[in-house]
Amino acid sequence: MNPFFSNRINLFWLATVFLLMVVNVINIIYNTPMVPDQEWAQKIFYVHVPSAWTGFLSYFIVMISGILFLIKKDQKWDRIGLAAAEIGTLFLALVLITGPIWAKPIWGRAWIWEPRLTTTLVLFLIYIGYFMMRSFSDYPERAARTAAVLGIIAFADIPIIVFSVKFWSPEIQSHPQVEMASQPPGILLPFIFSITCFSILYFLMLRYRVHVLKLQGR
Amino acid sequence: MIMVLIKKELLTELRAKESFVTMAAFSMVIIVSFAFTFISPSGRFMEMAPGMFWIMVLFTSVLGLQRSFAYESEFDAFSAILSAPVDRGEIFLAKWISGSIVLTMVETIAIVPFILFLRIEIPANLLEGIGIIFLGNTAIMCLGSFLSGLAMRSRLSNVLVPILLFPLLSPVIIASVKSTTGWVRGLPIGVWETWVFILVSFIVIFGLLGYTLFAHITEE
Repeated sequence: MNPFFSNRINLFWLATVFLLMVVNVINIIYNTPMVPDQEWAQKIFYVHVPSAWTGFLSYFIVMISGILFLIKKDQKWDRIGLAAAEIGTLFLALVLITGPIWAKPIWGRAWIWEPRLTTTLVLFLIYIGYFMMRSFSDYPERAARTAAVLGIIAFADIPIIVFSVKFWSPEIQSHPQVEMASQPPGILLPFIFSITCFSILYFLMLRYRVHVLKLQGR
Repeated sequence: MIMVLIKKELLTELRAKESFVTMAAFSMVIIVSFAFTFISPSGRFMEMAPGMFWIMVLFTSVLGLQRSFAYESEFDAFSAILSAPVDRGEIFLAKWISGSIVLTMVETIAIVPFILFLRIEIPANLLEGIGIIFLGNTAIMCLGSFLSGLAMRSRLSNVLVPILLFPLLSPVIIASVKSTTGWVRGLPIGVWETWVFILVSFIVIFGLLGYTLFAHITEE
């Protein structure tokens, strides 16, 4: 057995996440209402939005761990930052895959420069640069420092990217913007449940990746 | 002390003229490429001119940024600068200000063929245009100088700078093009002042971050 999961607490969380995800998928398929005009395509929303939430949460953790690394010079914060960046990028990749799958039947085109998807794409590209930066550095200590700084810079850029992309080109973004608060309870409650499942999955993945990075001596 | 550093940067550039000449030549190449690519029977580029101008500035600035820390890393002069009794944030400020001055000088030369070859009408109220170009240049060089310092000691730093810079600069690209479009179309400033606000916010936020964080990326 993997040493990480020989720990009973980690094993408990693995079983819990597995169970929650199975319940989540069944709930999405059978218990969520069919939205007129969208039908089955709308079901991807319960994966798409929680993935985006997890990705952005992850980048927030990259920034916090970057600040803590620069203050405390403790490698633990570099490991957390790197793990959060990797997992965040994985979830943002999921957002960039599920977004066009959802958009195609609804808006007729897979990509229409929707502000939130565009922001996600820009962030995804920034983090591609982040990983290149890390891998092109010859000294681990220097790589950790530059990565911490880049994590802070990238997160500080997010509100400006969101704001500028939102008002960038209204004529090509003329689709309805649905706000979560206006969703009926039949959609809202399964959505909150799904976001909770994804958050727990995220923290377990983060713990596991940090553990692996520690074993690798990073 | 900061004035000494700016003077040093500008003197180095004035003597070698490496960045200035390559940037000016490259901007000419881009303008000619634009003419070959977008020439139309009407010969009017006004619709696309703001976008083309800022693409030219962006690509040209990358050339300058790649040379920005080149002397220091090639001759290991950076260790000497770091050992000088100077706040490291001021080194960043000097790179930023001198880089903006060189970029503005290049643009002053490049704007002539840009208008002439692409048959662009010069809009009224030049002061607004100069203001937009000043803000755009300052924003690009602010983050650019910081990232150039960040990537200086990495392998393939020349490749890293544009890969990191372009996505992080996306709000600046959008805001610069939008405000230039507003100016070129003769719209009142109230219509496009939001974009000016974005440019100013970007400069303030990243100027402060750069000044604060530069010490961390230059630690030996």
